[in-house]
Amino acid sequence: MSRKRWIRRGLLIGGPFFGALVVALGVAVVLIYARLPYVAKWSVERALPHVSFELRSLQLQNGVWVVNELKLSDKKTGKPLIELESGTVRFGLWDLFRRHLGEVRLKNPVLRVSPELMALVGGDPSPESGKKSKPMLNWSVDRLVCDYGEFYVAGLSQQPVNVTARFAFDWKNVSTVEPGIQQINRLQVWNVDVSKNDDFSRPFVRFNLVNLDFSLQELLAQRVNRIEVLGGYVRVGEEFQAMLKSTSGGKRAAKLWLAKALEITDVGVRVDDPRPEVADIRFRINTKLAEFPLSDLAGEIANRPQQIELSNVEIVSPVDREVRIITLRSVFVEFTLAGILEKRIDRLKLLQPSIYISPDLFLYMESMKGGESMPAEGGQASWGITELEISNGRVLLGGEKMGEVGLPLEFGAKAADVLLDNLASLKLQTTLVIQNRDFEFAALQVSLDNLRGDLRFSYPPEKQESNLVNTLRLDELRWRSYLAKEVWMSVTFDKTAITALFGGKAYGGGFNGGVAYFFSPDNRWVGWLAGDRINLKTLTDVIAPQNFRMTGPAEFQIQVDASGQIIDRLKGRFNAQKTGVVTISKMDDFLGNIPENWTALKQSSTRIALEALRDYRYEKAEGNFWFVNRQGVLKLQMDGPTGKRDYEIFLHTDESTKGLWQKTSANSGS
Amino acid sequence: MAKNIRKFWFLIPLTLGACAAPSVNLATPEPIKIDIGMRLDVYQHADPNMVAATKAKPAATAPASPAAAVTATTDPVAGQKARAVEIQNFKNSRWVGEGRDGLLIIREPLPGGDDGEAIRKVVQQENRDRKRIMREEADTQKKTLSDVQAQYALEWRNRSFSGEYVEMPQPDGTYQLIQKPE
Repeated sequence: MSRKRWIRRGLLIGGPFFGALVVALGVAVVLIYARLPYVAKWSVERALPHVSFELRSLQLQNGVWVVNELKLSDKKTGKPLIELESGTVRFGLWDLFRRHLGEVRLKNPVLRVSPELMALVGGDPSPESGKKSKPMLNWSVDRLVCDYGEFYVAGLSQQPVNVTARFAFDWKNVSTVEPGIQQINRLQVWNVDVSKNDDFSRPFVRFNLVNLDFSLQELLAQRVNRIEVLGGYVRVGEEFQAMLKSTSGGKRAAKLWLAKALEITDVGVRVDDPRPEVADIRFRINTKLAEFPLSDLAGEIANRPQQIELSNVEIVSPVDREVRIITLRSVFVEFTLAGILEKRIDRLKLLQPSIYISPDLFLYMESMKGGESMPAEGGQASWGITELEISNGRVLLGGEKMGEVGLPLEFGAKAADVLLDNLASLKLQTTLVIQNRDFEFAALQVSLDNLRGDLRFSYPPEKQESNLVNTLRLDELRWRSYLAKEVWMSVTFDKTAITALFGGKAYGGGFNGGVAYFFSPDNRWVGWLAGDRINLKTLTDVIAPQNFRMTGPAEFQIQVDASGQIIDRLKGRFNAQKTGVVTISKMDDFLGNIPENWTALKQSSTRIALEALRDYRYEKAEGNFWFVNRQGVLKLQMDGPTGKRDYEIFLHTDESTKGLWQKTSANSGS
Repeated sequence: MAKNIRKFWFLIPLTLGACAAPSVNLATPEPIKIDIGMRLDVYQHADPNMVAATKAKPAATAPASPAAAVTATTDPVAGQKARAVEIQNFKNSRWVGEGRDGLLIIREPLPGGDDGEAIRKVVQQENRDRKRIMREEADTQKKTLSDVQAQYALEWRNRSFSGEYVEMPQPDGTYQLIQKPE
C-alpha cells in the first residue's frame, strides 16, 4: 500500500512538473527552430571565434536541411571568406550520432582563399606561422555535390598574384576513415586565370580545364594523385618570373605539395621578349611529369630528370608577326628542376625544324646580335644546353609573302655546351650535316642522287662572314633528259640575296655557274653558266635527236636575268674548240619531198643546195645570241673547207621591222 | 651490096673517134667553196583578239615601232617592256649604261644621223618612265625619291650582264661608268 501511495504522490507532484518540462522543451524546440540561423551563428562563432557568421535562413523541409545565403567573413577585417547562395543537407537523427550525412549539395559557393581563411582551416599562410593542421573529425558523407562554384586566391603574401577559377564536383562516399578516405575523388576546375595582383583583366596563365584527382588520405599527406591540364596558355614574361621566384624561395622548401602525376595537354606558351625588335617565342606544351612538386621547384625531387615535349614552336619575324622564320615541329627538353634553377637544360632535341630563308630571318638574326651586347640582368649567368641535337631539318626559301620553296635537303646536327641568353640571343656555331639521300621532283622532272653536304651555321652571324654557308654535293643531277655528274653547290645566304656557285661534269666536259636570288616581291634572280670541252655530239643528240647534230668540243657562256619562272633576258656566246661536222638531218625530209614535176636541172640544183646545207665540215665555229621578252637574235658563223656559213635568226613578236634592233647594221650582237 | 657498105665507111672513124675521146677533168685541186649567208626572220603573232582590240582604238599618228606605240601610252611599265629589246640592243652595242640614279646614261659618241637621234629618243622615253615608276614607289612607300633611286640603281647593277656598262662607286667616293666584270 505504502508503495502505491508513494507512486500516487509522485504523480501528483511530478506530473505537472514533467508536463511543464515537456511543454518547456517543446517551446524551446519551437523557439530554437524559429531561430535556427541565430543558433547556428552562435554555434559557429563559438567554434570559430575569429569568424563572423551570417545566415539568412536554415530550415528543415521534408527531412532536408536547407541553408540560404551563408557567409563567413573575417571578424577583424570584414573580408568575406566563404559564401554560399544555398545548400541542402540531408541526414537523419541517428545519422548525427554516427557522424554521417546523407547528401550535401552546395549551390554557387564562393571560396576566397586569403591568409585569414588559411588560418581558419589550419593552413600555413606564412612561413613564419609554424601552425599545424588540426586532426580531422571522423565524418562521412554519402554524396557531396556542387554544380558550380567560384574560387578566388588573392592577397597571399607569398604569391603576388590573383587566381580565379570555377569548379564543380560530385563525390560519393566521402569519409575521413577507412575505406572512404582512400577513395579517389575528382575536382573539376575550369577557366583558371592567374594574373598580377592589380590586373585581373590580363591573365598571364589560363588553363581551360583542370582535373584534380585525389583521396582525402593523400590530401592530408599533402599529395595529389593526378592533375590533368587540358588547353590554355602561359605567357612567360615579367609576371611569370616574379611568380616563379616567389614559389622557389628556400624557406618554403619544407612545405612540399606533390602531384604523383601531372599531365599537360595542348597548352600554348609564349615567351615574351621585352625588346620590341625581338619576336616572342611561341610553342605548345604536351607533357607528363611525375612526382612534381606543386609548392616548390627545389625540393627532394629537384634533381629527378624530367622531360617535356613542346610542339609547333614558332618564331616569327620581328617586323611582321605573320611571317614565320623558324618553326619546330617537336622539341624534347630534358632537364632537372635544379638545373632549371641554375639556367641549365640537360638535353634539347629538335625534330623537323624548318628555317625560312628570307630577309626577316636576317633581321631577326641581326636583332639577336644587337641583343647580345645587352648585359644580362643582374649579372646572372646565361642559359645553357649541355647537349643539343637537331634532326630532319628543312630549309625553305621565302615566307608567306614570297611563297615558299623547299630546298631539296634535310639536315641534322649535334652540339655540346650551347649557350643561350634568356631564349633570345642564341649563340650557336655548328655544322648541320645533311643526311645522304636521293630526291625526286616529278613536277619539275628533276632528280638528285646521293645528295650530301653540310650547313655551316653561325647564329648570330659572325662579323664580315657569311651567315649561312651551305655546301652540297651530289653524284647525279638529272633534269628531263639532261644529265650532270659530280655536282657541287655552295650557297651563301644574306639579307639581300641567296648566292650560289655550282659546278660539275657533263657531256665530256665541265661546267660551272652562279645564281643570285634576290629577296624581292617579283622573285628576281640572275645567273650565269659556262661550259668547257662540252662534247657537242652527245649534247645535240639529247637536244635535237635525229634532226640536228654537231660534233667536236665547244665552250659556251650564258647569262640570265629572270623573275620567277619567266626569263626576261638571256645572252650568251659559244665557240667550237676543234674542227667538227654539222649535220642537219632534217634536210633529209626536204630531199625526199622534192617535187617530181620539177625539171631535172631544178631538182638537181635543189638537191645539191640542200645537201650542202645538210652536211658541213667546219674548222671554226662561233656564235652568240641574246633574247629579251621572247625577241632577239641568234648568230652562227662557221668557216670550213667548203665555204662559210653565216646564219642570222631574228625572233620577232610582231611583224614590224622598223625597230632599230632589227637592222643588221645597228645590231652588233654581244 | 658492096656499094651499099661503102656508103657507111665514114661511120668507122666516127665510131673509133668517139671511143677514144679525150677525158674532161671536172675535179678541182681545192674543194668548191660555197659561202652561204642566210637571214631568217621568225614572227610570233599576237593573240588575234588582242590585235583586234588594239586596232579598234583610233591612233593619231602611226607609230614608227611597237616600242614607240607603247611609249605613246600612259603605262610606264608597259612602255618599259615594249622598249626592253631596244635597250638591250643599246647595251650590247655599249651605247648606254646603268647610272647610280636608276636611269640610263648615254655613252658618247653615238652613231650619227637618224640612228643616233632614235637612240637618244628611246633612252629619253625610258628614263621618263623609270622616273615615273620610282616617284610612284617613293610616294607609296613613304620614302625619299633619292632612296628609291639608289635602290633601283642597285637592282639594275645586279641585273646587268658582264660587259655592260654600270656606274660603280669608287673607293674615293666618286662614281665611274665601267664595264661590269666577268
